[in-house]
Amino acid sequence: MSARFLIVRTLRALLTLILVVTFVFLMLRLAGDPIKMLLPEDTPASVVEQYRARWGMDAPIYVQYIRYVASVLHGDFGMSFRDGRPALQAVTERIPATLTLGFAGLAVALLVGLPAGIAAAVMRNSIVDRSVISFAVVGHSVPTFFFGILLIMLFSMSLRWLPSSGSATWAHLVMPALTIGLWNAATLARFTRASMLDVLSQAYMKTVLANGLPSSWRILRYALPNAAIPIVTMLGLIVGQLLSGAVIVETVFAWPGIGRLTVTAVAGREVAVVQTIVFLSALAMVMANLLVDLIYGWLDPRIGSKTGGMSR
Amino acid sequence: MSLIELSFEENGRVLRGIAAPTPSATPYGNDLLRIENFSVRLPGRHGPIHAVRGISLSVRVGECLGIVGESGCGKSTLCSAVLSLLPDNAQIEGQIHFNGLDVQRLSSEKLARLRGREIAMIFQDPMGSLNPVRRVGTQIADKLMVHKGLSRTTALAEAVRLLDLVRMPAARGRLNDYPHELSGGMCQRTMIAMALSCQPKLLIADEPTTALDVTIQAQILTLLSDLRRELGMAIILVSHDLGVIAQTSDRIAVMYSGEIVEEAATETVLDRPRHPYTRGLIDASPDINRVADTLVTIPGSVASLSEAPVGCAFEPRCQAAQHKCRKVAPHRTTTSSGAVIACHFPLGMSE
Amino acid sequence: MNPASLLTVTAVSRSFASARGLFGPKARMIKAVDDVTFSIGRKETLALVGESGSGKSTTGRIALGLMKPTSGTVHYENEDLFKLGGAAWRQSRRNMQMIFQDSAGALDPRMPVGAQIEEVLSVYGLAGGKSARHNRVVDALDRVGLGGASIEHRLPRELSGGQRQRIAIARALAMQAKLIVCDEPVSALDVSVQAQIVNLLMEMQQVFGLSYLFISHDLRVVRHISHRVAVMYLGRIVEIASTADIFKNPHHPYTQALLAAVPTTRRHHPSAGPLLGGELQDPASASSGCRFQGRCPFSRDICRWVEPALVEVGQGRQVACHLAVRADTEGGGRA
Ligand SMILES: Nc1ncnc2c1ncn2[C@@H]1O[C@H](COP(=O)(O)OP(=O)(O)O)[C@@H](O)[C@H]1O
Ligand SMILES: Nc1ncnc2c1ncn2[C@@H]1O[C@H](COP(=O)(O)OP(=O)(O)O)[C@@H](O)[C@H]1O
Ligand code: SF4
Ligand SMILES: [Mg+2]
Ligand SMILES: [Mg+2]
Repeated sequence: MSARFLIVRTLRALLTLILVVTFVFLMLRLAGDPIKMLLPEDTPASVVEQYRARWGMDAPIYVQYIRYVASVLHGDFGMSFRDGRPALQAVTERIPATLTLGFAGLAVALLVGLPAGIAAAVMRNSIVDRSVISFAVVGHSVPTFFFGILLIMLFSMSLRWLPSSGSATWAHLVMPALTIGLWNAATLARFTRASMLDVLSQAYMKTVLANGLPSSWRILRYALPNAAIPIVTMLGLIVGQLLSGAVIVETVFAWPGIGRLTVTAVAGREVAVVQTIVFLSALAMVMANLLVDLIYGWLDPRIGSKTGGMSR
Repeated sequence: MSLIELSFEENGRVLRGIAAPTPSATPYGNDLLRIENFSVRLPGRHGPIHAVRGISLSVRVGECLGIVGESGCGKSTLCSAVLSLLPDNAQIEGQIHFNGLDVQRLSSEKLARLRGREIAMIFQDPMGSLNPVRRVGTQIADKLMVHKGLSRTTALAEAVRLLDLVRMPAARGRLNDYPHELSGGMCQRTMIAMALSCQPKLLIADEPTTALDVTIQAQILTLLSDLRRELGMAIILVSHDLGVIAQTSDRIAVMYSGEIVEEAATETVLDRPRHPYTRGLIDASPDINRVADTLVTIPGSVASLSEAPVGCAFEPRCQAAQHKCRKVAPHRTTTSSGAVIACHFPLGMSE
Repeated sequence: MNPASLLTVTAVSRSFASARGLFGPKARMIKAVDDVTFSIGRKETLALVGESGSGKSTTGRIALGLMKPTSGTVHYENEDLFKLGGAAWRQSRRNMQMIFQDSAGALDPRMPVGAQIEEVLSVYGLAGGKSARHNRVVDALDRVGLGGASIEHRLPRELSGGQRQRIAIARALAMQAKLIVCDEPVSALDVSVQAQIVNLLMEMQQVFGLSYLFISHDLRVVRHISHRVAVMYLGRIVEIASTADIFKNPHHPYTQALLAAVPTTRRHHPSAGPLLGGELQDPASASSGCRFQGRCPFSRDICRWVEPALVEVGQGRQVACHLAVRADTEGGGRA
């Protein structure tokens, strides 16, 4: 991996962020007059103008844009109208909860999805393979809220093992993490299986067989590193999503993360909060992708190498 | 030093420390490998493909057997069978014995040992045969660690020696390279080094030079011949190119449509081919030392492997064919000189 | 420029930027073809041989006018190919056809092969009406041994590799090609089929007076089919001579090495020279002096510094080697 590769990828990430900021800005202006949306309908025109001036909305659009970018760079996304606090603060205080849930979900997805996908590919057409395929199909088609409610009915209402909502203890984490994790595990398993099957059919895997290396070496040292290359891309998407908060699952389990904040903010027309969430989600996505690119370059020596391969 | 490779001093230098295994008697006398009445059917889209049809063949200790035939005649399938590498859904009949062991009945540990230590194989596409995300040194060392129980450091040192043995330029510096950083010829040298790492008794080379340029092909063929002499291993060399086979092999088996139609010493096959297909193959191959106005052709194209014909598979293209050929499949017959032929009307037989 | 020749390629060079951009070191230029000159006469076959990456295909594409050279000219029937306009360009385009190693790539996979040839004919406004076009296609298919009604209705993938090459030849014939650039036309075929196609090409040359630029890495086929041979190494022609001269008495060390490397069914062939060491080079690695110098068994001091020019050493024979020029005067060189 060359320095050039790093620089190019980083610049690309920055460019994406700039586009996101611009996009959010434009969306906000296009969605209608934010002042009118916020103030009661019978607000006198003079008051509207007062607010307009206070929030800088009377300046030409490019000035507004420059001001907007500058404030975003300072981490100033405006105020939450509800409680008068900076929107950024309202959002960041939810980040720990979302991170906890996100990483717990990711752990479940990895621990279940990867081995299941690998086992299915290695034992192609066996019982194991068919079970994994069924799990993947079912797991992906069952909506998360439905699965969440099933869990609540089983573990909270019948068995009374786990609390059904809130985030006070570790026990609160189990069900939402399982819901998110298993749903993603289904996708991951299917993807891993396909990727492994592809790799296992490559010519170099025949070399490994012909050399009589043990299956564990064959699978873990020879097949997996190749199969991991597309899987990492998939993981990048999953991580990005998890970091932006899981709207449905957080709502079902009353988990105080960004997902739930999104719901309340949208319902309460909290423009500043919503745009903060959009921006931070985009940031999470971009960072996840940048990470993927870096892992990519590390996994695959052909990427960004100085010689693009010799001619024969 | 001039750039002519493979000088003898170099051979002497790189060879220190490798003792050629003495050709010892095997349970089958001199036969290292014995394939008996072997058939393979593979599932195809339009019904099973009868890729190998009742082949019997043996390879002696230290000998080079060439297998020549056009693409799709079943050469690779036969090679894979020797290492028990056929897909699970292959239907197999017949036996393969290596050194007295029934290859198809081996436990998985014994099979791994056979694959690692006794029989090695190299393939047509050297670049694609190496793992793209693993360093070439590591790939060689892995095999040594598994089969010889070496530590990683020792295994890597041994890998350098092996790369030297196969005349890899600047061997030590290559250990940390990835396959895409090597040329096709260097990849094939790496494959050969890996193949030789546990001193196999048999090397199966399936079209090892088909993907390489002609000067590199010559280097690799010379290397294989030299290594065989030095290490005393047997080689099965597979190619569609009669020239490649002729230069390197002691004995030639000619395959057509999943069968071996003629098998004899190289000179015999080239100078006095008995099977019409062999004759056709020789005449159709342009030779650099022989100019003809028009090349003799074999009419038609290679037979499909799906339906096994009642008579001789070559009959539709054969100019010597007679009524009997369409009705009765010719059996393999062994002549007094040990040559094998499967034809009702072999050439050069005055009746 | 030789007025008697059909195609004259003069001092043609072609560079490619190696794929690097943005923040990398400045994009290097690779000279894929470097100052190449040759001509092809009517009814003549000139073979272009050399290892992969030596610039054969690029030269072939330029000779056909399919690619512009960085410098140099190509004359077809004494007209500068890259200065032709409109009708004249179309005329020369259809007189010059190409056959590739894999004709499947040059055919529309969803259209019956017969219809494809008819379509090209109508694009070029050839052979008047529909029935005339159809007749011409049937005729051409017949010529290449694909007579009988069924073949023209098949899709490319329903044909064997050899049959597809026949289709490519039939298309060239139907277009009334005068020059065909054959880029490795038989390399992917089995020997028995390869012989059929080689014979067919030679027969069509006799019947229709075709000229061929025959690109191949297989010297055995080249010896059989060509009248003259040009040997390329890293973008340059290093030797050009009649087929008989090249094979009997190769002058350039690279030609000698190529010949020595050809596998033959005669175990001890007389021309066996030294085996070439070293790896294939790519044009980007070219340095000063003779570009073969790094692999050459005879290289001297001068070879390191001075690039040998392609000089005339006999009747219609040119070599670019400091030593070969001398060896020739000594009578026959190494062999
Ligand atoms: N894994 C497979 N499944 C189904 N058919 C196969 C498989 N491998 C090879 N074949 C078929 O078996 C025949 C023989 O193939 P192969 O042994 O590769 O021939 P060769 O090596 O002589 O070119 C061909 O028709 C090929 O299509
Ligand atoms: N379109 C292209 N862009 C960049 N490089 C090219 C292009 N075409 C050919 N080359 C380079 O030019 C050289 C000669 O290629 P080519 O003419 O295809 O050689 P040959 O046919 O002898 O194998 C090679 O190094 C190749 O990588
Ligand atoms: S000029 Fe020198 S280096 Fe080049 S081919 Fe001739 S002898 Fe070899
Ligand atoms: Mg094969
Ligand atoms: Mg080419």
